[in-house]
Amino acid sequence: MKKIITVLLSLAVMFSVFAGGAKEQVDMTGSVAMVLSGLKTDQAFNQYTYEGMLRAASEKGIKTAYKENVTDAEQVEVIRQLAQQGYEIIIGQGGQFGDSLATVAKEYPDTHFIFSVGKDTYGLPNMSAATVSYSEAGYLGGIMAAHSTKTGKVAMITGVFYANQAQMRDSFKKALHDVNPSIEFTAIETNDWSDTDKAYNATNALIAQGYDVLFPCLDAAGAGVAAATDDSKNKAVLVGSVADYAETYDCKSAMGSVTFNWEGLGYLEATGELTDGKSHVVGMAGNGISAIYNNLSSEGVAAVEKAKSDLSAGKINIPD
Amino acid sequence: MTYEIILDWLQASLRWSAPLIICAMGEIFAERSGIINMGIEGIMLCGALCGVAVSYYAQSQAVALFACAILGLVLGLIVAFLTVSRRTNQVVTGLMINLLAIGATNVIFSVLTVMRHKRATTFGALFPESMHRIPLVGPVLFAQPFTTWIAIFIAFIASFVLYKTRWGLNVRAVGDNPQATATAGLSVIKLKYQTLILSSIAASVAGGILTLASSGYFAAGGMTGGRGFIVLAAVVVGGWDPMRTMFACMLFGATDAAQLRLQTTESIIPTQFLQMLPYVITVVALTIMVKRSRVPKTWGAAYDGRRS
Repeated sequence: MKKIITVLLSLAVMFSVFAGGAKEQVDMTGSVAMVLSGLKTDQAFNQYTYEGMLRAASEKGIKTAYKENVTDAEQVEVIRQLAQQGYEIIIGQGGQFGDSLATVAKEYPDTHFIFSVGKDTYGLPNMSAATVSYSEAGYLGGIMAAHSTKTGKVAMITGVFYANQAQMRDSFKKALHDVNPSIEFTAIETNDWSDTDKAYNATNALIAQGYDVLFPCLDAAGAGVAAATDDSKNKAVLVGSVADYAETYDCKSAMGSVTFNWEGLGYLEATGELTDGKSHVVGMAGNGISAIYNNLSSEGVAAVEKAKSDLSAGKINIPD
Repeated sequence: MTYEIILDWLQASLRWSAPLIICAMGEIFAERSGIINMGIEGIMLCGALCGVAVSYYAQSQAVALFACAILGLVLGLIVAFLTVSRRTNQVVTGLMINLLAIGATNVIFSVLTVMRHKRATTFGALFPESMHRIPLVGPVLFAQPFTTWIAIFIAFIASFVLYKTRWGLNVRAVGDNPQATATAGLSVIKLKYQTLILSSIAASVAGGILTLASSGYFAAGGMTGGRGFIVLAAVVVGGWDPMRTMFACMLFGATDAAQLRLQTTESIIPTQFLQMLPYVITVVALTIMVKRSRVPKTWGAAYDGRRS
């Protein structure tokens, strides 16, 4: 037995020596790696940002890599491994990657790190942050909702009010108030981003209380809100956010949606345009968000268009 | 308006508890035979995906539920082989099944792209719409999806089978004293296989009902949200008795439905505390009820036939 172990160990050492000797020098100039919290085929945030990176790769000839479905516990090790492999830009795709990116960024000062869907650069010169404007999205959604309510009661449903969602809620409320100060607002947290059944029931609870416009800011669970408003027998309508609810969930009761251009964000990050150590918020001006109209009245569409130009002109004060 | 909110809450409580009740009825039989099927959370998740997928492609909820049952049977066989034949640790095996289910459903769902955009056919109400307008009982009972009634019916059937049939008596005997049961000429292994398969079928069908009685959509990332674990607690709270377990499931459903509605009130109680409410009640109920319950004597213990 000892002999076998000795032979195996010797072989392992020999292979590692030869492997080291045969190592090729790969040109990593302009290379980009993206770390995803979900699957690159999730037809949502992960897939679209990944596709943005692929577009950048085909247009600019960038070498790319990705790691999908990375759990919180694996984050640091995966990011460190990519930095060791020499990727010049490493993108952590999602608000949960901030701390892990900062940890590895301190160890690799010559590598650029991008905290995507975040705003904190952790004071590191080699770390940037980029996100779409949740504030602008919330404001435009609020204008749509205010022009869609008949009962004067509007509600937002989200998984958890993290910083981005809270910012979206605040600007949404401001828009409601700007259109009609008497509109009542409430919000429900389902504490789950994928439980469509819970989102369905939360929506029913709001409809029973007379809320006739629902504004979901959920990931895949948003399908539950779409289904519940469609089942409400015209008691409620929906204003979507993040995704185009009419297209994504075939939602008949969608008045409109404020969509996030995740593909565009992934593209910008991969091209290296955001590696200046600063925090970037991509709003309407940068094509980060768009307003989609479905059943919104012409008056509502005009109000949203006016809000868009006012936001661009800096006439509306919302924190970003 | 308050009256309508209460009616809506009662209706939601029953609808929410239906998948829990169905899953719990199967789990009662498994635990009564001495095996804890910890994998019901994962099996439920697989059933949720299977239900939506088959309902979408076959355009039939009956076929979808049948497919869920077949899937449950297969998964039940795997769990039974591991925990009964190979005598693996029941908790570890269950956790493994749950982790595998999350990964497997994520991968399979990533291929079924069309299902993200189209809603599967869902269950309608059992009674005609005119009956939904009857005061109080109309919206609370008659507007319930077909599956709520099935869940309650299954609870009564489970109670009858467990206490009034020879097979039910055998299951209880196996859980309390497998050696004596074997001496009496019964196959302990066969009975444990049967109850585990039954509990897995129930969990899978419950998962199918979870999606098909409401949104008609599946979402990757573990959309069952710990319902399987709540069922495990409900079975203990209910003292392994079908009727008491049914009420434990209803209590959880009612609390979860209530916490969503309480969030919209101008309450000084933080939202996070309200979200904890169903779990706090479960823990409190467990603490009170466990002492009063009669635990199956070989609950969670592996059966070694060679020692009999």
